[in-house]
Order: sequence, then structure tokens, then C-alpha cells
Amino acid sequence: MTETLGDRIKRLRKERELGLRQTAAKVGISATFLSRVENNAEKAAPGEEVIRKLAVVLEDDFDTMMQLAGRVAHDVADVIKADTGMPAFLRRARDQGISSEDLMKMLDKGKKGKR
Amino acid sequence: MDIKVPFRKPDEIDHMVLDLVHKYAKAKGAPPRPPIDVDDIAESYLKLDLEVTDLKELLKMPDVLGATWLEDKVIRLDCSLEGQEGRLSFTLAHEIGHWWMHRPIIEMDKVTLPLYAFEEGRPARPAIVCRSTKKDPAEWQADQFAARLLMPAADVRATAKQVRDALPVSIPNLKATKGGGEFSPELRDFASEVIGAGNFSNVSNQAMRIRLVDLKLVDDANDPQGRLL
Repeated sequence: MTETLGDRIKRLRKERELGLRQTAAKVGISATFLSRVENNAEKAAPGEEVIRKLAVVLEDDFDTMMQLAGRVAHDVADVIKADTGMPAFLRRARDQGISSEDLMKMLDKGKKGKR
Repeated sequence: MDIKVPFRKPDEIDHMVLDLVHKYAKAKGAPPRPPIDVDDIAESYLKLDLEVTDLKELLKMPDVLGATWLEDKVIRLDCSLEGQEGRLSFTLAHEIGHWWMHRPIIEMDKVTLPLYAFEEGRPARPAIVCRSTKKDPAEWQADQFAARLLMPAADVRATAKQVRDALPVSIPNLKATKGGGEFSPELRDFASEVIGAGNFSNVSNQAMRIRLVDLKLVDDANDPQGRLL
């Protein structure tokens, strides 16, 4: 079964030995809201700033948490908005089955070639 | 439905609280000091899941504050308690009391608990449901347990001695306050002083007032022999 954002938060919180209310206080949200998120009872996923704080408190990867929340970070959205060719580029990469990992490798290779 | 529990004298409850505190202190490497971290006792030491949710709506009970699902090892607190540190901590300590004192009895005797489904469509599971208006013997014991856990007698006595020269403190018409009813301003002030000086930041004034009376750190100015208490 795929891990949801709530499952992940609960798992990491326990691994880090953080209490529910302690975590909520560190992040600046109510324990009720965190409880609902953890138990997949909250319809609206937490916002970007909350996820950013959760990632810091839980020592987790922000992008992974954002993806599980079904959200796109503002800086990523800005990249796409700023370049009109970006949506076509992303669609093409998807259609050709090029993963983000492949793209990263290509970028690294390009970087080395420039040196 | 009431949970059938054996009668316990106050000193038996004292021992049960001390047993938990000693074991917790051993696990943590240091005795707990006020404010007693009941969240840590529940979640880290007893390995119980804590949830804060709309229990009133879920269980369709307007007076429910907390509940413990024994098989699932989950304590659920009603979200109305959030922001009321004293009441929330007391309710959590109360649920810990059920877990520590009553779970073994329930498991051994296979007492049938009422079944409650936490969410619609999910199977109903046995749970101890605690309502603010219903105080059977098990609930009374859990309240006593909570008071002792959050306000250890030695700490309350030492702090009371620190803030007042002479003990017990004489309070006019204290007898009228017995049972947690209306309290005199003098007792309220004394409880506030003890809470502040003793770092009992997760204890409500009401809970401290009752504890001061129980520990006989106050007496009735109109009845200093304590015949009425």
C-alpha cells in the first residue's frame, strides 16, 4: 500500500520520538489539524509553509512531502511560469519516458562537458 | 455501561501512580519534575497513539472528553480541550490512569466493554469512554490517578511551604467548596501561587484547589479541626 503524507508524518514523528502536541507546537499548527492529517481525515492537504516546517522538524525531504501532498512548491511553479517553453519541455520528457533522474544525469553531463 | 473495578483506597492509587512514575523515571534516566509531561508518558513510554479529534461528533456524545481504545492502543481526546492546557493534560492523565489501573483488570477478567467505532464504516472496538458528567468508580479512580500524577504530593507540599509561612492555610467557609463547587477567592489565589511557584503549568486552578484540599494543606477558618472536610 502506498504511503500517504499522513502515514509518513506519523511514521517519522514516531521514529524521531516526537509527541503529537510537541510536533504541532513546533510547526505552529493545532494538534487537532495534525491529528487529522496523520489519520488521513483532513480533506485539504497542509499548505507549503506548513509542509516546509514539517520537513524541518521531521528531518524529511521537502519535495517528497510536497509530492505526497499533491502540491507544487511556489519556486517550482515560478520556474514553469517564467519560461513559456517549460510546459512543452516537461510534456515531451514525460512522453519520451525520461525521468527526473535521467534529466539530472543529462544536466550533470552537460556541466562536466562545459568545464 | 460502568466498568466493574475493585474498590481502591487512595493510598493504593498513590502506589499505582508511584509504580508508573518509578518505571518511567528508570526508562528516562531521571525522575519527572513538574510540569509532568503526560504526553511523553503516554506516547513515548506507554507507546500509545495520541489523537486530538472531534470525539463529541464521532461518538455522538455531547459530554465526552476522552476515550481509550484498548486493542488499538489509542487515546483520543476531544478537540474542545485544545488550548486548555490544564484540562487537556488532566484528561490525558485520566486516560493514562485507565490504561495503567484498569486495562489489566479488563484483559484478565475479560470484562465486556461497550463497542465504539471511531469512524463510520470501521468496525466497532472496545473502548473506555470518559464523559464529564458521568462519574462511576472507575472514573473516580482515574481522576484520583490523574491528580496524583500531575501534582505529586511531595512537590505540592514543598511548594505550598515555600509560598506560605504557615500551613495549613485557613480559608473562610472552605466547607462550601467541598466537592469542587464554588471556591473562595483565597483558595483560588493560593492555588495560583502554588501553580506558579511549583511550575505546575499544565494544571488548572480547579485541579490544584481540589488537590490542596485533599492534601489538607488548607483548612476551614470556621472549622479548623476539619470536622467538616
